[in-house]
Amino acid sequence: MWVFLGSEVLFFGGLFTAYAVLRWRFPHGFALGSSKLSAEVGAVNTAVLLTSSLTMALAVYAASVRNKALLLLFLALTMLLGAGFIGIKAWEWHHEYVEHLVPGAGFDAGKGPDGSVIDRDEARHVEMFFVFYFTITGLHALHMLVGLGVLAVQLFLAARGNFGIADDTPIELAGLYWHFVDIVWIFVFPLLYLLRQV
Amino acid sequence: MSHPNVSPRTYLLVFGALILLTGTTYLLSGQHLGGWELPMALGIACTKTVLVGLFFMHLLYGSRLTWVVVATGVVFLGIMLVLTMSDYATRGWLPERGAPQPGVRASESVVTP
Repeated sequence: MWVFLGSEVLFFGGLFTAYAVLRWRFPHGFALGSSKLSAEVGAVNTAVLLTSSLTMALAVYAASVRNKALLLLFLALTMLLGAGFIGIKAWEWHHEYVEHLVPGAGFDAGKGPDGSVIDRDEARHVEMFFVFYFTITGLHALHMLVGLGVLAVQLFLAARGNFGIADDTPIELAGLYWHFVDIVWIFVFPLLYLLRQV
Repeated sequence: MSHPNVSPRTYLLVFGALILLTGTTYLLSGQHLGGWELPMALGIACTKTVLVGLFFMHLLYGSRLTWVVVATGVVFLGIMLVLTMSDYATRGWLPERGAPQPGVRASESVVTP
């Protein structure tokens, strides 16, 4: 599992490196892009995901002390919080779609945070920011969906028999994956939402 | 797999610290930190990652082999980032000879934030 996560580090690392290069080249446009996102919603979603990591850690704990009721409870809570995270993210995406922030022919960078006009070249850089935004958050959400699928199977198996109680390794491994996806978001949040100093 | 006995109390304390750090990084983003904006945001993110890794992912109680694998991931990520940025960040530092690079003008590649 750790070796797989090591390869995942480089998968997301490649995206972050490309992001770093272009942010270095177009700092102003990228900061403008960040300022278009809601840092409040991002912070709330970070808290939701961190809470899901807590319940996942507690599920692993419940499995290690062989407490089936607690294991089921915390697996279900983790799934609920994970689904909540994706729900908030989907709501954000919809909001950005309505605001014409999806890159493409309909893209409109709008105005700067202080109401200033964004010129054509700058608007292209803001659009570039949103290419990264949708790619990175989309791939992160895809990882979340995979995690939710794994947890759903484990919850089903654990409810039916003594899966996870007899041997807690599968729960522990699912936990590692879940925490890793959390860590990716820990970097996504400041890099995409918070660096908005124009 | 090792089965460390971490108490729920430890998890709750770590969780509290993570939420606190999230609040801090959010509040800091509203301030005008100048050149400190990126280091502060990344520093807090790294601290949170260390907390999640050490406690939630049980690295603190992990085997040496696990540590080697994690270190490999971090080192290679570092190589990718540092070597790539040391190229892009230093373009245009030296006067160019002959034909300019395609797509990049020397005056353009020096970015002053």
